[in-house]
Amino acid sequence: MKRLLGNYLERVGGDYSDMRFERMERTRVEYRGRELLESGSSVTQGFVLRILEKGGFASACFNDGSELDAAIRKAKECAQSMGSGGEMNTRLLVPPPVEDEIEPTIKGDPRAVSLEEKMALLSSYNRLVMASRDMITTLAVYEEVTRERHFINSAGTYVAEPLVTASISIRMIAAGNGVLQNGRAVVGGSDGFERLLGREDVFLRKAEIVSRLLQARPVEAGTYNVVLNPEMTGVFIHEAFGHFSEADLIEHNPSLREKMNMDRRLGCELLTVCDDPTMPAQIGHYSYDDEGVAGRRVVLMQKGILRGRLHSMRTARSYGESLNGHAIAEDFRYPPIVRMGCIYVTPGDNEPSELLDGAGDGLYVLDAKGGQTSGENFTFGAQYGYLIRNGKSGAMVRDINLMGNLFETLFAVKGVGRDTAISEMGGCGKGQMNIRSAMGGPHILIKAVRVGGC
Amino acid sequence: MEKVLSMARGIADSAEVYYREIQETEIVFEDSSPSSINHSRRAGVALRIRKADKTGSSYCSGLDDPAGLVGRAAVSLDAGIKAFFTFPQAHPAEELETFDPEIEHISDLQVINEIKRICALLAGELKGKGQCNVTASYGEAFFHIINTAGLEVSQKISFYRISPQILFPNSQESLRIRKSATGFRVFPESRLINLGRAFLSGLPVLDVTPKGWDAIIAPSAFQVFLWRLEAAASAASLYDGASRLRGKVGQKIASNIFSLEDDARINGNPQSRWFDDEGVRTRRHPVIENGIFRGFFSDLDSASRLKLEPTGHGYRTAMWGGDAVSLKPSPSLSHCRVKPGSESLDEMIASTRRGVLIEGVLGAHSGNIPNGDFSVGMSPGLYIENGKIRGRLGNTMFSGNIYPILNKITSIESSLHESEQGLFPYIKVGDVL
Repeated sequence: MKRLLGNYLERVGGDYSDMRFERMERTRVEYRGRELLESGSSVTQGFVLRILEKGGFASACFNDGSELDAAIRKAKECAQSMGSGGEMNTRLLVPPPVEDEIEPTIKGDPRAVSLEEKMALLSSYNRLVMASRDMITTLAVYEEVTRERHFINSAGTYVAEPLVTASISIRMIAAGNGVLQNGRAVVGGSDGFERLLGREDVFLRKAEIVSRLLQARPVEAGTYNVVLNPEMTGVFIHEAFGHFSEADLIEHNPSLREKMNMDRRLGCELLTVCDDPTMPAQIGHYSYDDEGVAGRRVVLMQKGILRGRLHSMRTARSYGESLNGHAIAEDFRYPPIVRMGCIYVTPGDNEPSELLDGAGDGLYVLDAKGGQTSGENFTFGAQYGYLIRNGKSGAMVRDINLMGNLFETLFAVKGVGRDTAISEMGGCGKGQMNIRSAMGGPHILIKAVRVGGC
Repeated sequence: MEKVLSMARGIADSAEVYYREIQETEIVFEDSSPSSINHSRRAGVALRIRKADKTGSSYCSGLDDPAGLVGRAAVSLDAGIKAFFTFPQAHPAEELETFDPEIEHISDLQVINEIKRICALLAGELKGKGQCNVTASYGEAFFHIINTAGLEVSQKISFYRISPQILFPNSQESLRIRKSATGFRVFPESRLINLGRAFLSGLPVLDVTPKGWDAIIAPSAFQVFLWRLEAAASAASLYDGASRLRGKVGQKIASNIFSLEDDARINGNPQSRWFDDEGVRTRRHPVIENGIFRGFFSDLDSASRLKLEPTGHGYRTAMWGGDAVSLKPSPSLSHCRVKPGSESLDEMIASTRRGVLIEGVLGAHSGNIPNGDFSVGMSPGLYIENGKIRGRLGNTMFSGNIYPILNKITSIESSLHESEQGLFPYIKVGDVL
C-alpha cells in the first residue's frame, strides 16, 4: 500500500500534498424488541487527497484509484480558485517525516469472533432487557468498525494504523403510568471483544432505571446546585469547554479567539482538563491522527487556566502553537477536522458523598442523553436524576436538560471527586460523526445551573 | 448493477440493488474570508435479498466486487432475519424537474464571487457589529434502483445550496438563512438586508426571565417539534407500540390552523424524489390536516407488518454526516411542509406584547423524544416587547411537551422558508414560556 500511495502522490505535485486510503469493514447486528432485524458485514473504501498550492488548500474524496486523475484535477482547480479568487493563504506546520506501522492492542480481536457469537451475545443482553418490568421495545445494536488507515505525505511520512471499535448499545423504551420513558446503556471500546463479555449488570441496571422513570416526576425548571456523575461530567466538559479547545472552531471567530487567549483564567482552581487519545483501552484511542501526526496528551486547562489547544497542521501554524495530533475524519468520505480524542476532567479530592453534602438542596444527574454547543452556550441532557435534600439523594426525577455559559459555568464548579471513569460510549457530531470521541472524569459539583423541566 | 442482480438471483428468490452517487463541492467562508474547499465523489451500492421468508443485506462503495457484495448478503441471509416485505413491481417512469444541465457549468470562482458579494453586502449592513459566515455547495446526485420484480427507476438531481449566517459577538449563536435550487441563483438582496436588520435588533443581551409569554418558533427551531412528531407518526413506532399517536387517527391533536404534510414531488426542488429509496412511488402524505391526525407514514417493512399500503417513505437517512448507504431504509419524513397561514412575520411580532422569537435551539436531539417531551436552550431567543424585538436572551431554556403546545398555536406565517427537512413558516404559540 505504501508503494501504491507513493506512486499516486508523485502525480499530485503542489507545495504540499497528502493522501489517505481507508478500507472500512463494518459488522452490525440489530434487534428491535425480540426480533432480529439486521446481521452482517460490509466493506467500503476510499481515498482522501489534499493539496496545498500557492496558499489554496483543497481536498478531494473519491472511492477508487481509477478516479485519481480526475480527483487530482479537481483538487488543483479548487486550490487555485480559493488561492487566487478567494485570496486564501493557508500555511501548514508539517512535522518531520516518520514511518510507522501500528498494530492495535486488543484483548480478543472482534474480527476473529464469529458472527454467530456476536449475535448470541447481543441476543442474550437484549432478552434480559426485554424481560424487564414495563419494557415494550428495544433497539439493541452490536457494531464493530475497523478502519484500516494508510497515510502518506509529500514530506516523507507514511503511517499505517488500523482502528478497531466494538460496542453494544441497547436503547430501551418502557410504557406505563400514561407515559413512555427511554434510556440507553452502552458497553464498548477500542481494546477488543472481551470488554463486551459479562456485562449483564450494565443493561439490567439501566432497564430497572427506565422502568422506575415511569413513576418519576418531571424535574421542575429552575436553578439548581447539581452533582454530575462521571458520564455527565464527560459530556459537560466536552460541550462546555472541549469544543472551544478545538482550534478550528474559533480560528475564524475573532471575538471568541480573543476570549480564548492562552494563560487566561477560564475556570475555578479545582478544574484541570486534559485530552489524551493515547490513553489505552478507551474508545477514542489512536497513535496517529488522520494527518499522520502523532497524537499526544494535551493539558487544556490547568487549575482553571487555559494552557493548551487541539490542533491540525493548519491551525497549529495559524496559532503558532505545537502540533498534537488531533485532526480526525469520520472515515474516507471526509478530510480531517480538529476533534477531541479523549477529553476528561482530572480527579480531585472529594468523595462523591461530600459533593452531595456540598450541594445541600439540589439535583444529582446521571448518564448522558446528548449535548450541543453554540459558542459560549451549551446544553446537555441527563437520562435521569435524583433530588438532593440536605445533602442526601432522594426522589428520582426525569426530563432533565442543563444549560450554561462557558465563561460562567466553569467558575461555578465547587467540588471535584476523587473517583474517575471514561465513558464507553463515544460520539460527537461536529460536521462529521466521530464514534470514537471519548470523554469522562470524576463526579463534580456545580453551583447554580439552569435546568429545564418539562 | 445488472450483474449484481443476476448473481443475487442465484442465491435468493428475489433481490434489490440500490445505487447512489453524489458529487459535491463545498466552499466555506468564515468571517468573510475563505476557510475551506472540499470536493467529493461518493458512490454506494446496497443489496437486499430475500429467500423464502428470510432476508439479508450488504453494501459497498462501488460495483467492482459484485461477488463480495453478494457473498456478504448471503451470510446475512443465513442469520435468519424474517422478511415481511416484498420488493415493489415495476411502475412507469415519471418526470420531476430536479436536474438543471447548467449545473455542469458552475465554476468554483463563480460561487466564490457570489459568497464575496454576500459578505460585502452584509458587512455594509452590519457596520462591524457581527461576523458573516457563508457555506455554499453544488453538485449532482444520481439514484438508481433495480429489483427482480422488474422495477428499474432512476433519477438525476442537481443542487446548489447557499447559507449566509451572521454570528453574534463572543458567540457562535447566529441568524442563518438558506436557499437551494437545482442550479446557481443569485441570493436575493432583500433577504440579506432583512437578515442584517434582524441581527442588529437582537444585538443587546437582556437579562429577563420569560413568564407566561408567547413564542414565535422559527423554521430552524421547528425540528424540536418535527422530530417528535416524526417519531410518533412513524408506522415503525406504531408497530413497536411506542407511538403517542396510536389510536389517534382522525382525532384532533393540534390547533385547527395547523396542517403538516410530506410531499416529495415539488418541481424545481432539488430534494424532490418521485420514488423513495426502495423504489416505491412517492406521494403527498398529509400527517396533520387542520389539527386532525391523518395517518402514519411507512416504508415497505413497517407497511407490510401492519398490513398497510406503503406510503413511499422508505429512505436511507443518516444524521450527523453518516453514510446513508450503510443504513437500511426506514420510515422518514424528508420533504415536509407546514401549510402557510395568513400573517407576515412582521405582523406576528407586532401583535406580540411580550414574547420570544426562537431562531434556533440547542439540544433538540436530547430529551424523551418518544413521549414528545423537550427541553432545549434558545440559541438565540430574540426578546419581543410591545411588538418590537429589543435584544436577545442569555442562557434561557424552552421546555415542555409538544402535544399541548401544538394546541396553543395562534398564528402561522404566510411565507415558507427552507430548513433541514422541508419548508416551514414562523409559528406563533400563546402562553408557553
